Amino acid sequence: MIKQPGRLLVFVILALLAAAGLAVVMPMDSLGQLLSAVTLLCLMWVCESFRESSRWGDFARILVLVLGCFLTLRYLSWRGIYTLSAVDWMTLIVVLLLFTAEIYSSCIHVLGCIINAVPLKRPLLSLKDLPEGTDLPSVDVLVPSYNEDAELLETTLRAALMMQYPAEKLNVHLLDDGGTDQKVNSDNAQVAAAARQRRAELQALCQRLGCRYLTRPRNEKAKAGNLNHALQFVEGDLVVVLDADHVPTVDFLDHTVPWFVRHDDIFLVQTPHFMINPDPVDRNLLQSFSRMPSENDMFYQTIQRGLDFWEASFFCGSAAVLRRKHLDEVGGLAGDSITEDCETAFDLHSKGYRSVYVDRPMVAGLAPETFTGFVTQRMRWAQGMTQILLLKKPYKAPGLKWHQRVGYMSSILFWMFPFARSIFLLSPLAYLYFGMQVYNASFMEILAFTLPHIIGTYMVSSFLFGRTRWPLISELYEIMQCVFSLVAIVKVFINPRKPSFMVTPKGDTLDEEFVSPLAKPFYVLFALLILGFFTGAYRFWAEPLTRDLTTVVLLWNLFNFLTVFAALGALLERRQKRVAPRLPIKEEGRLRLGDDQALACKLLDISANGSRLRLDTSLGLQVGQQYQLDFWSPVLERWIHLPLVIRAVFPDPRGEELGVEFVPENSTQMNDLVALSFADSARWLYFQNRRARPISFMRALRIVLSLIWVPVRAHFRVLIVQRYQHLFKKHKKQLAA
Amino acid sequence: MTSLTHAASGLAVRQLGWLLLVVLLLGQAVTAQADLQAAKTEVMRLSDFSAQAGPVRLYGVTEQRELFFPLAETRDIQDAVLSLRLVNSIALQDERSFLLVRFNETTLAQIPFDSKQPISDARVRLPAELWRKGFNKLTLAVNQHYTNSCEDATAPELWTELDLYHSHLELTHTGTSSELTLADLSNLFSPGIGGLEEALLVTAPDLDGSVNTASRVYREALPLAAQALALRRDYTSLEIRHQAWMKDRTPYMLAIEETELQLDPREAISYLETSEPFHLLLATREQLHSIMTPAEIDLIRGPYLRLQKVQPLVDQEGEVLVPGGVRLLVSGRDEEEVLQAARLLQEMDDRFNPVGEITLLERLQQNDQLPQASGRFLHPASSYSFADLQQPTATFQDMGSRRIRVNLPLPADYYAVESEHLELQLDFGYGAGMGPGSVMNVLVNGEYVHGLLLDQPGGSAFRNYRIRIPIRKLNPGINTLDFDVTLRPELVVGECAGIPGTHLVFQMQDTSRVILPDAAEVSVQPNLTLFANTGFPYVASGYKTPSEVILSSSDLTAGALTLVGRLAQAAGAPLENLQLKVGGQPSGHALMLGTPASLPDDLFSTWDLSLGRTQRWPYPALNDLRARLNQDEVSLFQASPEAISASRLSGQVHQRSGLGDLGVLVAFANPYSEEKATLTLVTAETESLLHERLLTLVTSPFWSQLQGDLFIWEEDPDQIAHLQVANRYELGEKDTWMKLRLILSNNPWYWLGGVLVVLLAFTLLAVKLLGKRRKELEAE
Repeated sequence: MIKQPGRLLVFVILALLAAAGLAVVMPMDSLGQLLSAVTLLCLMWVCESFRESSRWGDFARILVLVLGCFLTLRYLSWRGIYTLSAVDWMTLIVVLLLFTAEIYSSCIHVLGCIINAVPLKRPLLSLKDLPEGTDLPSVDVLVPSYNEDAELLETTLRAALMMQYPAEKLNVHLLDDGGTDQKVNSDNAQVAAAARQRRAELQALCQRLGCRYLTRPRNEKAKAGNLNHALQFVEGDLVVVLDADHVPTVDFLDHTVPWFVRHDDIFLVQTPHFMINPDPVDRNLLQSFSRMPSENDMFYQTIQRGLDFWEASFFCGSAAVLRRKHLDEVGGLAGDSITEDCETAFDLHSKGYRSVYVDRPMVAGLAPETFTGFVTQRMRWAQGMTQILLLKKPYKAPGLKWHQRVGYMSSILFWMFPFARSIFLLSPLAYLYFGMQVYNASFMEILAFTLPHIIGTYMVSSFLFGRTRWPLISELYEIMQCVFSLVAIVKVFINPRKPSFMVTPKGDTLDEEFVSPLAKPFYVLFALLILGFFTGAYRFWAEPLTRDLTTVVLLWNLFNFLTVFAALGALLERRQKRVAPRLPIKEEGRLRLGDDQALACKLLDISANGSRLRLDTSLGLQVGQQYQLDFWSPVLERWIHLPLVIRAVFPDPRGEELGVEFVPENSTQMNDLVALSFADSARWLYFQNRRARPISFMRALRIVLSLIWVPVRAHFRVLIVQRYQHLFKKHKKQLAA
Repeated sequence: MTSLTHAASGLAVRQLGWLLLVVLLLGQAVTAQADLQAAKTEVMRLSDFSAQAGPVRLYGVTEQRELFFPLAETRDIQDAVLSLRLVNSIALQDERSFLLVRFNETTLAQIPFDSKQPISDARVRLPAELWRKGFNKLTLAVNQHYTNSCEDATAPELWTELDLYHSHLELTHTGTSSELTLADLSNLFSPGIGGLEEALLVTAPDLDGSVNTASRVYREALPLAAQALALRRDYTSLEIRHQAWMKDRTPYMLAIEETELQLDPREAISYLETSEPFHLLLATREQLHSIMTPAEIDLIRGPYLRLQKVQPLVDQEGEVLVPGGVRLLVSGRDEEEVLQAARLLQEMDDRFNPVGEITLLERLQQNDQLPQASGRFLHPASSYSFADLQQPTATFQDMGSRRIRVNLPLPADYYAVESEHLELQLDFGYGAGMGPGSVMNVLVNGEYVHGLLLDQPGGSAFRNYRIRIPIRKLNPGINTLDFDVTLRPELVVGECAGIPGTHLVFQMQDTSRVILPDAAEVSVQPNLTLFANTGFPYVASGYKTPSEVILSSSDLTAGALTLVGRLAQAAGAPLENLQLKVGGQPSGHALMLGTPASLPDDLFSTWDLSLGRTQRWPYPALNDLRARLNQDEVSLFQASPEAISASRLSGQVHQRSGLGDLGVLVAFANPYSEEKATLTLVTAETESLLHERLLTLVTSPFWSQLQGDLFIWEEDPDQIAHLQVANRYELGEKDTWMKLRLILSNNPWYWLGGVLVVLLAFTLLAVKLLGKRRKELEAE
């Protein structure tokens, strides 16, 4: 913790800030500014090459951030002082809206720089490193469930039970909100029957596995209510929260519990959510799951570490351990917002307790399969964070340190992006359609102020997040969410207590391709942006005096168009054949063909119930034949033997590739299957590191441009087919009538 | 065409008329004669009265061109003959095609076109009785037809070409015989035909008969009086001469003595060496005792002005002993009152004074810190209607192309942020029946900025039609805003379908407005273009600039006064707080006149160029001057001398030689001034040559070419050279912030250096504090 700075230090800091502030607003013509900005950008570029230097690395890193922020503030000051003019009120409103959006984006950027200036890499603690005879705390694993099927829950529960921890101190509880008394006694007979069946099924499952089944009288306060209800019936020192689809590795408690043993003031140890399937945007459009960092990698691999440095890493709802004692102090999980996780962390941080973020993927989960599910999840996050902003007011919350406030404001304000993104999307159209001069600057000024700011921002983002977020990906995700999140956030501003918890649908399979029902707003945007080019071309021809501005706005519109175009590609929900998602791996096993015959094989990928094996020789194996896989599990430190059925045979010049389905015959084999698939965090780490790599802007642009055409074409093909089918059915009905 | 149209187009041409007359009066005027009453004959080319270069072509069935002849109100026309040379299309039908010559709306001649002899000359007498004081309008209109019946009004074969260069106006005029009053001063110095082109300023001699350069009359009143006369000439140069009156016996007094008549020489202009048609006499009442009668001196009871015709003294045979002339007396009871009288001469509006003499009783002035130039230039963050800018409502009728020109005189130190815009809010309209090609184009300083197709069949009217023009498209000083309007009738397909465009009408209202953005008073110096266009830095629009004129010898007084008069004309206002000095060092903004031999050695110590006893020349062969020439904008590359010296060819040749026939005008930072100030030096090998070169310099062909900071010229306008030699610097008086902007724009390295220091210090501190925190966290 930073000690209270001395007066001299405060004076020096204030003096430097004042000098920097003065430099930010000092007036200069474009040519001078351009030269200065280019020099600063060159310096940033030079500093980037020193990032790995042990001696200068820290200095270079901070200098890049400081220079980038300075260019941004310089740009904002220029915008604010010289460019906010309008000839009429309507234009003035748009001008101010755009400037507000820019201020917002710049704030987020600067806050991001502060938060991620020094991402903290915590050491990986282990129970083995604790002094001998240490009394380990008892742990209750809570798995809240609403409507997930038993098969999915069984995997999670088995994995939870397999976690390496003294068995007498580990209790696993299934918190079923799908079989509550309220549902069982529902007036709707169908609902009541389903709930009864679910309750019985899950009770049997828990009994079979040795877990505890808990349900409650009423479905109140969603997940937080469910967890708080369960807390009345558990007494462990620590509470692990796992979503129904979040499967822990065996070392989860090994690496998290020691933090609680060592430090009494820690209330939370959060770990990353490692998604084993691509989100819909990735799956539908980019199809780069194993090559490109996942959408949440930036948060879990970079931002949470940055927040951890400032004691502001927060609870993400799952894959985390909480201290029961501290939870009780705040009355359990908070329920004022629909993001109870962040809110709870906020409350406990306010009480002076600390959180720890362990950056090792030890829980594998599922991302939403459909765009609708994805949007539902993100709208909930956006609404919940907005609720915290409005109800808890982190900027002036008592008990929080200044840097924690900055951390929370950074995390929360990020979710206001739909406002800014919508304005950035529509502002060029205000000019192209109505001639509103929303950006009063000459081409030279744009070169001198705007472009260096954009390049500087890109360099800083690339510097901070380059490994975990490729260029243009953020824009794509934000565009896709902004239309829906904007409405959701506005509703919260109107009534902060109104939003209700929406369960994110997961584990769906998609039998056929279809256009997402949420695509309509994007068609409108698409049409507007295309028309914008025509009006822009006319404006360029008819108004020579504003050609500079028109050119810039047309380029801006082109960027927006490409993003919306790509979004259309992502809105075609692709068919998903596999029941369980597969992850590529590189491990070895033995395929046992008979009692005395075993053949070395390589495991190329793995899922919850199957794998792809490669044999070095071709044996002419047939589909349907049953064999056994012998696999040495490094985490269990024993051999796993799993019966399997060959489902597919792929010829391979180096031998033979087999698609196999595991068919466990008893509970032990089922545990082994879970262990084979989910027990090893090193496997997740390997996979994560494999795709965490930076690429240049131009390469990202090339990739995006090369990827978007096929999905977009498919989108329109499917759309036309759907329309045709719809008309055909309608016609058929009419004929029948 | 209606009279309103005439008025509108006439005004536009009139503005040009004054300017063009400079050329006319230089090249064609006959030598001024001593007697204002004497008849003078002048032959002038018609092209001197036209803004359009080259021949004038008239197209279509009917089109006309107007020329304006300005005539000084003090002149009466005795005779005027117009000689025209024209070429007509051989397709014209002889019986129906002819040229109409109208003078002041009276048709004087109809000259038929001959298709067989397309080149023709014509002489038309312009009757003296049709001439008016002021502007006279000559209308040359054609009626052109190629067939009797079915005719296309816009057929390309309908044309006539007027060769204005070889067309002449021969004028004979005499002075008016009426009594002169102070109201006639402007007429005497009218820039029109017959106006005085030179004036003699006379001051009291010193004890030894030489010019008394120590008196306030010489130092302060004399330049004011010179400017007062020059300003009455508008944009036309005025040669000022100066002398002290003859203390002892003049040739005239000798002539009187020889007659043995009892004549009082003080009743005539006997104190001059030669007879002069006009002279201005500056002296205190006390000093005038020796040359004027007590009765006349008794009239001087304060700051005093008097314009009078002084009758000649004749002997009994009627022979003129002392010729008469016109005398303007500027006097007072002491030097202060003479100065006040000179100021009154400069400030007064002649029209209000149809009397022979004025005695100033009191002068009240509010906002005394503001210069007179303040009212000549547009002010930042202000709005002006076209009426304010002397542009009345303009109405164009009939087909053809016309131009409305609005002058936008910006202060020389007008420095606005580059993102600012000048906004035009135009009120205009056009009538029904416009055809293809009917357009209004807007040009700023000749650069196209906006166009509008006049394509509504039923016509259209606009109010507050907005055009935003980036402010950096305008320059400090005079800017032109042109509206080029082309009116074409509708195209009708078919035989006999041509429509004459008499129904076409376009109107630009004088309620249209120009809105200027805010700006500061900062300027980059040295800049001879600004100097020539606005008189800056000796005249500024926002504040009074004290300045000096340093002469190496009193013999250069006349040249200095001529130059000062020209500067006042450029600014449209006098150089206030100006002092004339012989010898000494300039302490602030200054004009300096002297021969190389008389210039101080250290004057050029900080400069690349030297024009003293030895010369140091930055020959172009040794210097990369590309970025310096013609660059009014602030340039980074001018800003850093170090950068220049490192990256650019630079050198001088130091030589012992002379300037030969060259006149040299240079501007640079005053090396003697503690604050930044500009010194403008004019030099030539000898004083007489310097005077001669100055007289050439103030004429339009030379003055209009001033640019850079080094200007070299001889007799021929084609032998002009100019360079930007010195590094530039900024002058600014009021807005520190804008001056800072200019300085930083010129020297971005200053800003960059400061920023890097601050950010590096900030980074060091941040690294230290963050490292400390990380260590503490790791220690846990």
